[in-house]
Amino acid sequence: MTTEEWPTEWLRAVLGLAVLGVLDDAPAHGYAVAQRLAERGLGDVRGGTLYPLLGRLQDAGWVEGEWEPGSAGPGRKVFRLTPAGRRHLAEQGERWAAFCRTTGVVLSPSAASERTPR
Amino acid sequence: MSENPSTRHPRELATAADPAWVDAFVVELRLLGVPGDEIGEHLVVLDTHLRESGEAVDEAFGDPREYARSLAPGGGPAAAVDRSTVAMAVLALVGVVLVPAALGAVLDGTRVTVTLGGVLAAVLLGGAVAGLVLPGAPLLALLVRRRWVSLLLAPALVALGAGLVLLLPQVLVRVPAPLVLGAGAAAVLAGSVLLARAPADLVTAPGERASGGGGRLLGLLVLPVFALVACVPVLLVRLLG
Repeated sequence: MTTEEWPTEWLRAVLGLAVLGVLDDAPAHGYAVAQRLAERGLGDVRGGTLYPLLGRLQDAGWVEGEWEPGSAGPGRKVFRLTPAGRRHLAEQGERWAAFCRTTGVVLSPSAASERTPR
Repeated sequence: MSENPSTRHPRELATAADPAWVDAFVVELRLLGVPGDEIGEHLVVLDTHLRESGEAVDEAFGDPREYARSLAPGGGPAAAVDRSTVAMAVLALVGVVLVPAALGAVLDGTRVTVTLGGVLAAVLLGGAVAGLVLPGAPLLALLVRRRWVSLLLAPALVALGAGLVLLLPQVLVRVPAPLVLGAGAAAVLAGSVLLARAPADLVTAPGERASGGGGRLLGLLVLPVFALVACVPVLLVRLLG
């Protein structure tokens, strides 16, 4: 998987959906979310970016947080996708994929014209 | 770690972070009106993240004030000060000003003289208190973010208040001293009750419940003690004079 650093503007646009995507696999606590994003090639997402985003996703009703009891202390907060979050991910994920295909055509017009019959 | 949230410092919830960073973060969240239990959650999440990632707090979370603002961009639910807090502040101010003024007049066997300068100084003091308790606590935020302002502001307010009293001695009204003493004592009592009944809003860890027993007793005593301290110069002047 690439470890390339993506431009901040691109990450800002897709990070919310990417977090929903990694939580769709399994619930996770904050640092595990950051690790999964890094493993999938989005690079290092700092805590200062991740937790405010998780808060906004919770406010939107797409993610819910629950405290997992620890052996000695308050434990960890585990985030999971809600049914509304799963629907949002399916709809917006499909649109994002369509956007990427469209962007690909715009950025490589010669390849597109080869595919398009005159 | 201390078990009792009323005696525990918020730093103890995030021992993996630099204490100065935690202090600045907690102060900014308080200024934004974020309740204590939410602040506790943010601290535990931060602490867990730092322990698992091995990162330094400023590397992972950046500037504490900016991070606090990103967590509560529109301010927390306690950003708007409730009517009870404003009433408590006004009663405290009225009581602590009236009781020593009336005590002096009672001891001298005179009436309490209300002068133009006295009224304007009271308005000035009221403005300062409003800056501390109104939504967003603009004056409090300024004092916390610019420490040097507090060094200048306190003497400036005292000098301005004293100047108004001395330069504008025109008498507006004379009020019987026992009446003023009774009103001041009633204001101190009512303010104390409001202060003691106010929720403690302590910084608590998730799942922890705050108990405010000691805080309530302190709340009942703090205004009478302030009023008594304000009476000391009045008594000293009469004893030594």
